[in-house]
Amino acid sequence: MGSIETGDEGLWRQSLLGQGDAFGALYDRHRDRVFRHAYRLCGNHHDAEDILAASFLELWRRRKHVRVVEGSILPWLLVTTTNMARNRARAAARYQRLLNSLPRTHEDGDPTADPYRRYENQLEQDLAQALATLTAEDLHLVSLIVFEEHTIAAAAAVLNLTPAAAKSRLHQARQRLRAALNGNASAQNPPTPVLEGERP
Amino acid sequence: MNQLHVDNVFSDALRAELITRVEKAAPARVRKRTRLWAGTAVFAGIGLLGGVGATAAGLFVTPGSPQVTPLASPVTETHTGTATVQLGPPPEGTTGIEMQLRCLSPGTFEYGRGASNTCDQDDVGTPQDWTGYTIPLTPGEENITITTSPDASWKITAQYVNTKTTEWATNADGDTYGAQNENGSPDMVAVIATNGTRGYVSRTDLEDADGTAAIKTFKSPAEALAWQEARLGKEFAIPVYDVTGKTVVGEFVITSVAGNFGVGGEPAPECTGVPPTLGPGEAWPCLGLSPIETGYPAIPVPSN
Repeated sequence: MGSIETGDEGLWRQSLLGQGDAFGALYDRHRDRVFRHAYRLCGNHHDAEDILAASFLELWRRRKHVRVVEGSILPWLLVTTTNMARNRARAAARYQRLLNSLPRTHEDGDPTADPYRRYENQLEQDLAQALATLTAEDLHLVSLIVFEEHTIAAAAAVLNLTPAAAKSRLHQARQRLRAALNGNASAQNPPTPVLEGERP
Repeated sequence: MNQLHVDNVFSDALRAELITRVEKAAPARVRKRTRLWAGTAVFAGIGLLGGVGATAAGLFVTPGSPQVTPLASPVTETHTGTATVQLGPPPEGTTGIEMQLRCLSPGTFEYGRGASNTCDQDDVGTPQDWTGYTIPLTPGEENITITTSPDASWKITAQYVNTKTTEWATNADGDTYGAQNENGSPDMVAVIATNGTRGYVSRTDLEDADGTAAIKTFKSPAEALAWQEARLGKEFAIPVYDVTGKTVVGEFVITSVAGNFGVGGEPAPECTGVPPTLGPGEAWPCLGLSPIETGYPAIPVPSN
């Protein structure tokens, strides 16, 4: 159902009127999905945090351009996240001083020491590499529909495509991604199961 | 993913920074906003026709619209100020909670998940005081909290429902008709004309009128700007047909206003000049004309 995110409109409108708490609530609501998506695209915790921050800063900076789709800002935000991840250097440059000034907890221990984490990391790196082979538009479609479970209609609306065009491009993008993953034979990882299904 | 989470220290600092930025940008004066959720009479935004379709769909079924089957007796309660309405455990097959709220006094009513509706004095006691939503079921969620000021009164009717999207129908000419939904638009899109008659507008008429078609043709920001200026404040009426697609039964009107979210008046500052270039992946920002459609999308209809 499209109405799950209906709630964003009220908060977004209040944010535009300068109500910080409303924007804070939007941040709380979408933070984890944006972060997961950023991580998926870059496979690195620190960079994913930078992308997360840049995405929300862009959401605000470009607030006049934000397109609310089916009551949600999330599709727009995810497209921005994808753009930020693809142009990491440019995004980081704009917000470099701010990003450096934000405090971070230093992770204890070396994540590569744990064999399970190392295996997971490898899978994530492979996926990130495979995703990097897609064009921006394909990546947007795969991100929105395959990973974030938006409808084809919603993805089409935010990307300015017709639903039919989105559907056929998604099909091709899936095939390219599958090919890219299979190309990473070094990690004996099967294609992610989520790529196999058809989404309505 | 492996316990993937944002560093809380980083996240809290970022959140605080974002809030500061938003508050700094607070407008010196609050511009009068047109109401977005004024009952169902004014409708803004491309794509909303389908998105809000779930609301009162149980009242009649348009092909392609969500069919809502009530699974439990509705709970109706009247409150003043913030209150929580208990619905009890959801029956098997529940996909969502359908709720309809009437404001009995002016105020802003928040439904959770950030959705809210504001009623003015003028709205109270008219069809404009009505709002409907279907909220997807969240496991463990057996109540609805409405947050409002202590003196604002409201009446809610809520019930557990099962929602599924029906198929579009096809008329004698082979054109599909019904409501916009997650599958896109049928050939003829269900609307209620300004004269109150239910009917259908042609998808191509609608896309021409609301700008969907034009947006795809722009080759430069200048072109987009010129188009925007030419449309500003104008009304575009398109014919509403009966199911045959041949007999006109009324008209559906789309008005272009400047800015997003129904903020009336002046165009956004960055839209007054033409930017020299667009970066890769950047869309020209100033297509933010929100069509306000009068007449109604066919689905949300007040219950009385």
